Amino acid sequence: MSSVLQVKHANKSYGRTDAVDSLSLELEELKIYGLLGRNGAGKTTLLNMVTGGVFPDGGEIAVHGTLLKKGDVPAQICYIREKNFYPGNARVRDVLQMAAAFHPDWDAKFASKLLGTFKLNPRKKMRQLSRGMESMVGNLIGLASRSPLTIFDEPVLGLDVLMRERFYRTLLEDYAEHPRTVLLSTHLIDEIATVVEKVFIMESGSILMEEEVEQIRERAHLVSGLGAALDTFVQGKRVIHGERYGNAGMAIVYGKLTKEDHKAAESQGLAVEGVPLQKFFAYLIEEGQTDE
Amino acid sequence: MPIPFDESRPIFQQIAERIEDDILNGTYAEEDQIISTTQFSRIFQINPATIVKGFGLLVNEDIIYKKRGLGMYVAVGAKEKIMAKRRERFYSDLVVKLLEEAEKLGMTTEDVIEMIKREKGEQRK
Amino acid sequence: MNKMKVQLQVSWLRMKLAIWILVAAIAVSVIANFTINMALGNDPQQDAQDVAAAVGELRELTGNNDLSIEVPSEMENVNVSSANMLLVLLPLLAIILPLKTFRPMMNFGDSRRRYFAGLLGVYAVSAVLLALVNSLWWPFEQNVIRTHSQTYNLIEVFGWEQFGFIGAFVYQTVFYFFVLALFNLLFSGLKSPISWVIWTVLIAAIPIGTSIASLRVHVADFFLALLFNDSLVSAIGLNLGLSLVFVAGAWLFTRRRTF
Repeated sequence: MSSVLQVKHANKSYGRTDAVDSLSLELEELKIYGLLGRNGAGKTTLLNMVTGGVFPDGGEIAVHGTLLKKGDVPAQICYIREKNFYPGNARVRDVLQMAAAFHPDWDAKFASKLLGTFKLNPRKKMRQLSRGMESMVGNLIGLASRSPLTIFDEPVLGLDVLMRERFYRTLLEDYAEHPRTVLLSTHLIDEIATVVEKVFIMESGSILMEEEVEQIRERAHLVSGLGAALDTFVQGKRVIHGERYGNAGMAIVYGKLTKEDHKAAESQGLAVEGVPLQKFFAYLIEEGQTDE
Repeated sequence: MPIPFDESRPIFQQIAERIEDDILNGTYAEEDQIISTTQFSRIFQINPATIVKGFGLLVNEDIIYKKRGLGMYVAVGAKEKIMAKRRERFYSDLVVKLLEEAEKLGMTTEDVIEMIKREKGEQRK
Repeated sequence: MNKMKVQLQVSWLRMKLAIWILVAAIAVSVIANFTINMALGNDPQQDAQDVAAAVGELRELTGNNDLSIEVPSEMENVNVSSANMLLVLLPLLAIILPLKTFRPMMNFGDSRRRYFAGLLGVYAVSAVLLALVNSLWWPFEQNVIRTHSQTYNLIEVFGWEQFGFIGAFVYQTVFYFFVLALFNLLFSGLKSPISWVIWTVLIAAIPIGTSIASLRVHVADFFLALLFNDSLVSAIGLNLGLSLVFVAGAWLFTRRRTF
């Protein structure tokens, strides 16, 4: 598998705060990735560096195998920003035509079809659009660009559930026919969990966890029962989060549990359940934060 | 379309189970083509790689097989294989647990059998 | 649509409002002047008599016979040529474009190099167009407008008419480009400390250059060479040479400009 994006120990600080702190990550070809983290975790700074908007203080970034030099803007990439910079007095139709000029794989037919799917009026001016429609114009461009690396920053901001699902469904549909690498950066992880193959969880400028989503579903467990039994059980295991109430307690344990583990838990009267992903991410980020 | 899957368990396993259910209840007969990865991905809003993994489980158990360039088809004898597998699991997951719980409650095996018979009798009415 | 066309469209969208306001302001002032000149009857002798009568009345009223009013030889109101008023576009372009088109172009995925080349293209075309408009307006102004209104035009103020139609056009083009390049330099790197130094030096240079007598001569010489140059070739050389320096400076800012 060749790498589409490679970040090695990238740093970026604004004043005294480290927005991105010695961060490394790699995206392989033809996969959908999620970059999850709270607002202010450094996601946008990372994406701006990767797309040549701002320059890292240290570290290396390579896009499609080409090392990014200071001032370079990588080719074969489509970056849909959270806050767009399309001229407010431009019409939706014009913005699409303009975007087309920068993406050699642009599919104009697909773009006009998506106008209908996303319920966008091409004659409207950008400044007349609601926040959600503005997001959808960006999403439309990202999809129609068919760029080998497409990055969406907070693509579902301002969208209702129906439109959020419509976007993700359209993305998956088009991805099936035209596989490419997609990176979805968001703090809204509700619908994204089944869409992405692998996630990077970011907090305070670094990656807390990088894992296949299905792997996380397999490995994240909620163990609950008596405190003493719990303590013995979690020994030597990675505990993401723990809570006590009275002499009972619960722990979020991350790792593969063997048959013996399950048997041991059962014999100790401990209940082992799966953890919904959103919950797991929330615990992980919360803990990652208190670690500092 | 809301996601009809349990988010706390691997989805590829649930996908495999769903296809098995459809074979058991007759939605798919032997040699029927099953839903494509693309369709599945679109309808349930799930990453195609996850679906491929789920289908892979079934391919390994010879429940479905791939026809080059055409798609996935239900294998001959798939239903029997699934039933055999499920019976095994029925025993380990349900019967064993049932008896363990009964023991905790001070019930004998006879009591449990009696209860089952009563339930069945009521249903017959 | 190609990238250059996108840049032109983005530039137009950003400039649209400023251009319309300017054109409207010019139109209003032209109409107002025309109306006033018509109403006044545009008769200098009549005007002089009116003034004399007014002074007489004032003398009677105040009883002060020394009272007088200086009347210029030409009494009509004097205007800047309408075509020259369009030149306000020069600073407007070179302020608005670097400030308001860099991020949209980057947002589309443009490279800094192509963006900057495109921007220079926009400036070059603007300089040529404005020079052309003023050159074509000039004979019309002399032959038609001056029959009822007194106007000033850069072409005669700086003595560019001595170079003929083509020469005046070329002088204007290089000077307009110089203005564009200067403002572009000033507004390309507002985030950069080097840019703040340039601003400071420039702002400090105005009072220093005009107040110190020994420097004043050189400042005057510089502006003479830049604007009132009697040699077209040396004027082109000076204007373009300085423009080149400004362009190089602006590129140094732009190639490191962050989003």
